[in-house]
Amino acid sequence: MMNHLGQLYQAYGKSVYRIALHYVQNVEDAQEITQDVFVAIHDHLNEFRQEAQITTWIHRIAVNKCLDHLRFKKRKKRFAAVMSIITGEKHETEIPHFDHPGVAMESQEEMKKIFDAINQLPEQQKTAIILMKLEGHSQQETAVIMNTSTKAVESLISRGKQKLREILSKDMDLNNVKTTR
Amino acid sequence: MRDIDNISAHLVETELPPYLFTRIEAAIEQKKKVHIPAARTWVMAMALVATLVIDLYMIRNKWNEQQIVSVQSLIEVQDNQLYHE
Repeated sequence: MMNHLGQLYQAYGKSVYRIALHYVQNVEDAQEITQDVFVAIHDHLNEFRQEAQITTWIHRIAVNKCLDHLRFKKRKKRFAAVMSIITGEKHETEIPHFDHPGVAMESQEEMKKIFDAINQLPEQQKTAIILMKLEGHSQQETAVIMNTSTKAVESLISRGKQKLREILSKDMDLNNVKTTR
Repeated sequence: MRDIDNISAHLVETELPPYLFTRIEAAIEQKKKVHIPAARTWVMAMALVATLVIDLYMIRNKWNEQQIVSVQSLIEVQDNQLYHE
């Protein structure tokens, strides 16, 4: 079983780690997610149905684990905010800095802005953008991973791109105002 | 740069940390150790329920006994009073 897991790790470890990095943009969290994904693969390998592609199955687990991780972080942040109101003490929640080893050094600053904008998208749009625009999956593959139709993916991508443009142009306007001052 | 269709062009090959698979293996081993088989969980749950039932039965019995003793002592007191009168 472990040997089989090792082979799967060799084949899909990098793509899982990369997907996690696109979601959290932080090495520590991405490693934790990758670990959770392979533990889940180990636990549910017997349930894997051969008619599905193993790539899509693994990537679906990865996407779900990433979303779970982000929801957990959001809950933790909300809990800390409520606790600070109740106790009057400041509960510090650390904001992880941008640490994405998959981004070229010369593009770090610009890509940080783009990832900040991606982080503001709703979950489904974010997932569609990550799988298609960053991971290079086809519309069909993205639909299978997200368990939805190709039409729905098309609409998610178009709305996601539009929203990204809006966020990025607002950001650019803000920067222009700052520089003219 | 801000061409959203072309953002993947700014990505480079990502290497996996060398220790990550060892960490995964350790996490799986740890999970196996902590894992309690379903049958054992059932036995433990049933034992807990049985203990609770026995406890409740004993508490009720003890309470009944106390009630009987208090009634008996009340009768005795009344008897004594009647005798003295």
